[in-house]
Amino acid sequence: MEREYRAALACLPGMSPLALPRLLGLAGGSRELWNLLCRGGERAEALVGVEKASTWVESTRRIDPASLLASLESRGIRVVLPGEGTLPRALWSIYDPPALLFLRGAEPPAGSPWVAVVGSRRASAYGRRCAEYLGRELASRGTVVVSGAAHGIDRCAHEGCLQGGGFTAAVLGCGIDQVYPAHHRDLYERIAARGCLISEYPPGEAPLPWRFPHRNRLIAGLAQAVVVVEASEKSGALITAEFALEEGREVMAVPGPIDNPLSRGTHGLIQKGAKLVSCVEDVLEEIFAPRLLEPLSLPPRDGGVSAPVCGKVPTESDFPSAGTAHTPGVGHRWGPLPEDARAPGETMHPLAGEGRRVDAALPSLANGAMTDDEEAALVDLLRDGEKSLDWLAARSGKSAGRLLVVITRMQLKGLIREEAGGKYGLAAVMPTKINNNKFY
Amino acid sequence: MNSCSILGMEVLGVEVEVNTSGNLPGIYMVGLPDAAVRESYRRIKAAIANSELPFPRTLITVNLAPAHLRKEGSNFDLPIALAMLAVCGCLEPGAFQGRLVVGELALDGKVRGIRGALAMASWARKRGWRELILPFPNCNEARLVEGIRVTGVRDLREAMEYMRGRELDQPPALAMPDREEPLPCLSEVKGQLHAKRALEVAAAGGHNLLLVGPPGSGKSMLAERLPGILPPLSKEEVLEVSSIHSVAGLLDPDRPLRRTPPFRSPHHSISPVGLVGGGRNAPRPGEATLSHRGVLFLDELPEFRRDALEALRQPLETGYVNVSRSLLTATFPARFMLVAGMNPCPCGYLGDSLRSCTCHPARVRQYYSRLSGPLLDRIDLQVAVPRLTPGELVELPAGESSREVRERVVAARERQRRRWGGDGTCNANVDISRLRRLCPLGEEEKRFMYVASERLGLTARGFDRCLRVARTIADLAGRESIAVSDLAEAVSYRYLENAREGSLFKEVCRGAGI
Repeated sequence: MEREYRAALACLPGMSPLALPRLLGLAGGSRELWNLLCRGGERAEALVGVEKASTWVESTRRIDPASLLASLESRGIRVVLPGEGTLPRALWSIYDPPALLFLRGAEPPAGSPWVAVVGSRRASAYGRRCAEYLGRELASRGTVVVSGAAHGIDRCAHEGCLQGGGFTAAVLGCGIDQVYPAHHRDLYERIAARGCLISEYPPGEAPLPWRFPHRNRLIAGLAQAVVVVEASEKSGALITAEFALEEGREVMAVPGPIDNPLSRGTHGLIQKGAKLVSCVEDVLEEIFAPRLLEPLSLPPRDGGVSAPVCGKVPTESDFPSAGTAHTPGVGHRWGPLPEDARAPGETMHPLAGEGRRVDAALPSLANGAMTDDEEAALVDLLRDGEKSLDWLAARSGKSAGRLLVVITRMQLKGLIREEAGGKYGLAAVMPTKINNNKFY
Repeated sequence: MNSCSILGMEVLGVEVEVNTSGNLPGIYMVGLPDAAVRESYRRIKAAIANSELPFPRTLITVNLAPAHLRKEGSNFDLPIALAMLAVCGCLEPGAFQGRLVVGELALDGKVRGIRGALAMASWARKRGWRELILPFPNCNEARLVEGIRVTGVRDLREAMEYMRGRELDQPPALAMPDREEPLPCLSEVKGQLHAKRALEVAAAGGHNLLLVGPPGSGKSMLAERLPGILPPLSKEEVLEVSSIHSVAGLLDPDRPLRRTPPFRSPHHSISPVGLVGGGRNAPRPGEATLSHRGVLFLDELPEFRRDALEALRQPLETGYVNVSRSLLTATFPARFMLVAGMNPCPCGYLGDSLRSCTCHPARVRQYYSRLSGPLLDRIDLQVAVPRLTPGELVELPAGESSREVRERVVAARERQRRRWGGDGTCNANVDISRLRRLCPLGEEEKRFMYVASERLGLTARGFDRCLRVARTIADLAGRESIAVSDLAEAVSYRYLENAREGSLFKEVCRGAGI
């Protein structure tokens, strides 16, 4: 009955999720609180105030806790009480843990490390690329990527994780059945299918501005490490980082250009001691460090799996045909399908990718077999940022028509993408790990 | 006395009858005259007086037949005045035989120019009139029609004397211009290779084009250079275009003939009627018709009134405009190439390398959602026009001249003419099933399209558009069948494709950081 009462209490109109745990404590339990509010009167007024007591007396008459839970479940919404399920235990011991969570989607894999990738909503192409890279690479190492399903970095982190075939969790600042921003409906559905949506707000709650900082405490609470990709000085991502510091989580930041305002927040974090993230291993080192001494239970990563387009000369049969699953390890002409790149359920040793990270990020580049000279030249030209077609034509000496042919081919392979304003950039980052041994 | 006026794009023949009866002096004008026609009495009276000619001092009844159609404009000044002079005995009624007279009078007796002279001349010739007498400024354009005598008159007295048999010296007939007017050259635009290539493809296949770029990136400059790379108009097309412009009163009296396709760029505050034509009683051609056989450039596409853009759908689909009013229905030709320009976001600087965008992502979305899907469906080519940095402006080469590009365009059009037949069908408007039948894709090409539509989220419509564009690219390259490279290039001209499909919204969203 605990579950029914808690859900019913959370669904009371105007019930603040932050106040609910306190009220539960004062009343001595969910059932007691519910009955108290049902009766109304002076005790209820003393507890919640005159106004709320009178509205909630009304509401409690309309709500039947048991049927409420049933209706939630019929809509695919689960109610998770503290300590239940496979959400990281650490969440329930933050400073102000939620009294319950609403969850839609799949059950998170047990025991996986959770990493938050957060950042600006108005991200640059570089930031979006980094977020997607981190999402994908973390996913491929069996990490759950948690973020806020907002524009920009959040979306790219989720997308990257889905591409990498991983489990991604979105913590919402509104009711679990609401979609905010509205055009992220498709993203929400994909997350619900291959990850989960989490909210402490009952269904129907609107995305009000003050809910997002509260939501950020949950992101920080769920994650073992928080990676901030791009953040201006006032970014909500810094609030998440703040919560993470208070809760003793790792805080890391991806550096950016110093003349971009979106680097101010992240560089500020780095100056205060956040770890600088230059590649996914920098993140993995921190979250897996305690386990490094344990014997490895998983076989080291096989090159063919992580870089499915290596080596093979393309043939006609390499085209994917409808209905047949793409076999990992076999290249095909237009590049890998990211979702198919790895067999489902397969997990990798976290650090197995060390030394092969370029291959992992950009499979077709490491091996010359798939990219002809034209494409390789284009990749070289694009290495230091997005370029316009004019710039590329001037540098490569090719005609616009020819360049467009090559660009489309590379777009299909997932190597290049078109950015706003007619620029082209590499689709994935190729981070370089800092080798500290070289500094002497 | 016979005259005519313009109704829509058609010429309406009007018989002018003048009767006098011996009552007190006065005038009745009948035959549904509009205000301009009713006022003509005042002009005629002053013009006759100032030409020192006699004016009938009786009650005059002027009838414009057929009586049931509305007459508008000032075309009837001259014929009515001449008829009155005939009443006074200055002219023999036989002098009017076989002659068609049009013209507006000034108060001092001068004859002013009218609109639609070219259309009137060709109508008069078709109806078997012997001669057309019209204002001197219009005689150049009317002379373009062969097989009818055209006489220009400068003032009322000259007209009367000519009718009496005096010869007038007339300017020599204009020849079809063989030299073209100097047009802005493509090499004046630096860089912008993507957009220039898109212009070339658009010109070659008759495709509509959308240019997306920040303010000052050169969208208008590029669009203005499209007529210069289109094939020059044929003799029939020149007459057709000039006739339309003559009806609209836009023809340059000294150089009525232009071999270059027209270029119209209306402001975004234009009304639907202004864009496609219309009017309460006598429909006038709109911008769509004025750009017939040429280019209609709509800068700031999302700022245009929605109903105006919706009205463009018919001409884009069929090549003509039907204007139905209570009194009559007019059909205007309107086969034009649409070039649209727009900013990438409301502030204009999304994705710009020099200035950062200040728009909220939701506003960017809203901005794109103002574009109607059916209209964008008709735009085969969508390219981004980035603003160049000062460094690039200095560094980048000028590129090809319009002349070089046009040679390729003309060759590609010739290939299309041979393939589709010579009725003006080009890759952009040929029936898609015909295109599929005559230009089947090879196995390799089919596979490419399969992968492309899967990866890039091509819709069925987008697929067909790619096919049309690829056909044009192959025509430009002189290839008989469509190759993979043609398809690959065609796929790259779909900047807004996902924006419009709504659900995915990939490219644009990514740009906006959504």
